Amino acid sequence: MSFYLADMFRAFGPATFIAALYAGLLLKAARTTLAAEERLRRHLTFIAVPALIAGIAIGAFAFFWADGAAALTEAKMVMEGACLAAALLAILSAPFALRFSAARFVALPIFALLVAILTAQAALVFADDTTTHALTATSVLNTELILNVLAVVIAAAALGAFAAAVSHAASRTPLIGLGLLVLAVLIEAAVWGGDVMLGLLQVGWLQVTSARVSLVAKADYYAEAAVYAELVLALILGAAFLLRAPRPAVLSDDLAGQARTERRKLKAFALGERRWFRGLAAAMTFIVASMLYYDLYASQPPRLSEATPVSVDDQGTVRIPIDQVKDGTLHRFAYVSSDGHRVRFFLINRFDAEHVAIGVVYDACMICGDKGYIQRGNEIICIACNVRIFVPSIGKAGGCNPIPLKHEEANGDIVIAQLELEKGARFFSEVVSTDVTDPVTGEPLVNTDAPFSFEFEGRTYYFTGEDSYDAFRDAPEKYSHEPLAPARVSWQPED
Amino acid sequence: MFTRLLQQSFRRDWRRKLLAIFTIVLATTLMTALASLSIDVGDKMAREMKAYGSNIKVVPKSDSIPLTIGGVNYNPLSGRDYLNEADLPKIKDIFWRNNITGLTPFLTLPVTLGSAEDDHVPLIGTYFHKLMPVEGFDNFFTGVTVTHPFWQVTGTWPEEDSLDQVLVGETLAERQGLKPGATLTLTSAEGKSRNVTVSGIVEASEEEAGGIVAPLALAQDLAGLSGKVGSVSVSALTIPENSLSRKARSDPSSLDAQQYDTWYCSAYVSAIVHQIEEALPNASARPIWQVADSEGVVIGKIQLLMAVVALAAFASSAMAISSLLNTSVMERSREIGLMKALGASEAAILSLFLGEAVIIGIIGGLIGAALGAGLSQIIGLTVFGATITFPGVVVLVVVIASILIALAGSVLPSRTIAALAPVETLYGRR
Repeated sequence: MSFYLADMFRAFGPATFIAALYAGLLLKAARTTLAAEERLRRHLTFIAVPALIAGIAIGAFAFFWADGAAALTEAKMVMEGACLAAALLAILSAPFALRFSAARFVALPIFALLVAILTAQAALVFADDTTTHALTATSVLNTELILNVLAVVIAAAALGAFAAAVSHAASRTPLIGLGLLVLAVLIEAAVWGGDVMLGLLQVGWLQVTSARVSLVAKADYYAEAAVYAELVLALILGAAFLLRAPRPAVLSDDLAGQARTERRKLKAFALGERRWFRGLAAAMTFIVASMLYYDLYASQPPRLSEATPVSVDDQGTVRIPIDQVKDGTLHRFAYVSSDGHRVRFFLINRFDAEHVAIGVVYDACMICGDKGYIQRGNEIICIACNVRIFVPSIGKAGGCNPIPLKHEEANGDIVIAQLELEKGARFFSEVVSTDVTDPVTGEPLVNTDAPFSFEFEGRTYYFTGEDSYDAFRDAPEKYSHEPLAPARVSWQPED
Repeated sequence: MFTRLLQQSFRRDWRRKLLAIFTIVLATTLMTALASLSIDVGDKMAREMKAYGSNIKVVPKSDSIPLTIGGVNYNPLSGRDYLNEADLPKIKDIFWRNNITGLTPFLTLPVTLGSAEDDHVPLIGTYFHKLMPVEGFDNFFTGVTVTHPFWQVTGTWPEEDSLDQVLVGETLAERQGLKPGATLTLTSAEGKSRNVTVSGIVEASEEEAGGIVAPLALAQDLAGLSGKVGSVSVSALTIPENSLSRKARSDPSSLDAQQYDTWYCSAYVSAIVHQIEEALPNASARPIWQVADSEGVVIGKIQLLMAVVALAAFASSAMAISSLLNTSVMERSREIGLMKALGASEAAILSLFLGEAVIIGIIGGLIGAALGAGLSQIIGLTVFGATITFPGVVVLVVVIASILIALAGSVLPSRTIAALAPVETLYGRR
């Protein structure tokens, strides 16, 4: 449920904000009398609803038409290009609409276009995001299905309230509203621009250069934060609106007649404005709270328990007493290899207290990589793929079982050779700073600061400069240590 | 001011409000009963699909040809084809071998007890806690104690591979007055007979209750089918089904290469079933969805009917609310005219009536949910013969539905409010 709530806001939030700001500017432009404003508000709603429906239909159609990842990228690219154009049109037309009241006959169709295109893009993104989170496990009505649908409905209602409040606030502070519209479009343009460029690179219409790839990567990296940036803009709008709103007037007894009526009208107006502000604040609080709940709590993967660091004795072995690890829980250890990889492994009693058989394995899987395993109750779970591991089988290779670690039992200890742990370095990607030496020059250096590194036969080598790196790369056998793994074979599939 | 107006309205006009609440209660009771039945089964199905363990049944391929008419199996090959006991360790040799926690073979044949010629009872041969030789697993014990942990035995389990010890199902034991330690003579259709001791009484599922459970070796001996088994139950640690595995289950060849790899290398029950079929070429395996195969079929078929009934209840009660509210608007037209004359906006007056509608909806919805919960238990007992777990989400759904009923009923009255002109109402012309 929390996923659907958060993802609705993530997908539709920016679109709602931009369209509502534009609607607010139009409201301001037409305001001559209260009745005229009310009439325009109704017009805008009547335009927005069919445009929304059309947008959702377009987005859904694009999603189902796009079969496969490549077609989806193209659909997104086209959609986001259209969004850029529509948003630009809106920004250009907004000052005219504010200045000349006749311009609204152009602005209203632009509003319809903006709503439809932004909604279509948001619907496509939402549909794509939700493919990995099933709406329901079965076709028969069930609690999960109801809660997920309810989340979508609640999110839509909150966005509707947010849109109404934003457009009202923007109509009261039109210049700030215009500025925020430009900023909001700029933020989204960065996200859309990055996606469009990625699409162009993938389709092959743009040459792949490292600068372009880096730009796309940055845009993608910050895309997650875009919706929060939009919310900050909404906060600024709310603050400006509150400062501009008149204070509720106090009715004193010495006022009478017409003046008293006027004062009362003013008070009613001020109270009404306060209500709008509270509505905006409530909608924003709900949106931010449900997004933060998902991003900071609900979507977080389970955390690994602490790993005990191990030390190597003078015989080049790691010894762990069996008594220490036979209680049936997962005991995680970590060893830092000579090239700085943090090698995690764990020990667990595969049977019960009477039948002690310790499984000794790396905290990594051949299929899923080094995400690791956690214990929940009696179950050992692979974090990456959620598979429950049959505990008696720990220590055997196959399936998603942890990779076995070669070891011996001696005098009630589990004895692991240092060389075996060094071999495990290739299963783990986590690197900690450690002192290493350049294999060519013999100079000492810190691995994480090394300008050049090269992986050869299971070991990573670090170099102080390009010269030694080149020397090593040309003849690695000359400088390398004893191999830990067979040299990587490059394999070209026959096409 | 708003709350004071609402309070007054309820105090002055409580009879009509009560009638409106009653209308909503009627509709929501029906909705609650239907929804909780359906949602209870849906939740059970969802739990089954999302469970981290599955049971798989492996039968000879010819047995899996569906030829069931009216619940009776007409497949002429049924029970004529067998799996080889020697092939069973192959199941522990698939890609997801480590996720197979247990496997139990079954071989069923009819036998007669003692002298009574007509008294045919099923004899079920199986493993209890047998050490199975599996490559790489030095102590893989398997049998019904692993795959069917709910089996309860009074007395002791028979010795594995013994030819003279059996368990007796509880119904049979009661009918024949058998106790642990009693002796029986079992005679098969092939004319073979054995003298056996009853080592215990077993409480298991319906099939075993009226029969005898024996070591597999004894069943094979009596049937003259050495080294053969009729079916195999496999327990596996799996991950919940998702859209990929559903797609694969209907047709693995519809996946592209990458999807196939992802599916094959994930512990979906469909992937494990597929791998078991690869390992045993003449066998057919399928996951057992207990709820989905029984109650789920019933509910799935009548779900649309339920939705139509609920919709009808919704519409009729919304119409009733509409006429009630409309009368109240007409009655209070002077009050409304006065408010308008004092400068109240249409929205403010409308919110007053909507507020009434929402309060009526919430009260009616809560009472309806309580009554419907009771009704659903009665329906559950008469239809499924079991009480149902009341899903809490129903209360939420029903209250929302009843608020929607009340709001839908206020659409027409709100138009009436808009049409009222203060001048006319204050002069009493409307």
